[in-house]
Amino acid sequence: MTPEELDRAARTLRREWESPDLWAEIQRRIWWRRVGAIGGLIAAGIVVGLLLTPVRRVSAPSASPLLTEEAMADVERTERAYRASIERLDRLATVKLRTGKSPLLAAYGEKLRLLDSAIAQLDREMQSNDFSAHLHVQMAALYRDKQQTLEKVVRHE
Amino acid sequence: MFGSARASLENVFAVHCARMKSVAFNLLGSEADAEDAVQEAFLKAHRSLASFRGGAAVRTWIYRALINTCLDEGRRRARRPAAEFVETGTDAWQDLRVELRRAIGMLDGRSRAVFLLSAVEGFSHAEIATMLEITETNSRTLLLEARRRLQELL
Repeated sequence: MTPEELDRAARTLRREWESPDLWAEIQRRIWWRRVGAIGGLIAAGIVVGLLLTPVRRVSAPSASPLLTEEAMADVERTERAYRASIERLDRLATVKLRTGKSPLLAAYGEKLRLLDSAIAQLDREMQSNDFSAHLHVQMAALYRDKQQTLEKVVRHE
Repeated sequence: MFGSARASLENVFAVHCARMKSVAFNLLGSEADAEDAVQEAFLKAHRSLASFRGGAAVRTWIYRALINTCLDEGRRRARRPAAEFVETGTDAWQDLRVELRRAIGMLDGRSRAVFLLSAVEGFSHAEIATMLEITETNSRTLLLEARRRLQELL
């Protein structure tokens, strides 16, 4: 076989086929791996969340649907304000994570990535079921943990 | 946080998925195995997102992870019969392709990877050197050796 024939034959080895679900499968596997990693974290967060979230006040059997909606709106406003304050903290922490080299900072960075992923996933679930108090409780717990982790990063020497 | 790195990952998938599948297919011999290897490469990259700086680094890293995944899988299979490529084309090159794949399978892992990345997928030696963590000169040498060996075998 001549070098030219080898080149031509080699180019025909290129193989193409459709894989419409491949990216979704990758995302699914990433998500499940994270779920495993933060499962304990969420469970602990739910317990704390159940004790602290205003949703608890409207979950009594006597609460009317209107009151429930008002309480949920209140929760959402609180969440938005909370998220905004965490984003400010996030910006400070991001600078430190990018420049810091300690293993502890790297561990905080990994934990924050897991939390961000869990928050993003929960966000998507809430878009289809925004009135689920359970999801709001989970979200609050995740943000609380994120806030604490960001504070540790910012305070890290 | 790390949103840009995640976006880079998705962008790499959108732009390079077809090429990555092709590289993996030619190293492993089946579409299903190739898709598994691509998935594994992206999962590994995701675990290392924090260490990436920019889209080019992500792309190079994922190709490296893909090739290493395929070569590791190849080594695991070494004790078993070699995988048969499922040839779907019916063009005039079909018989030659079968022979060429058989010959490529006889190359060592590095030479096989360099040949596939260069001659089949069209990557430059600079790109291959970065992906495989070798020098450009080494990439050129491995390609020359691979071509010489393939010409002997065919």
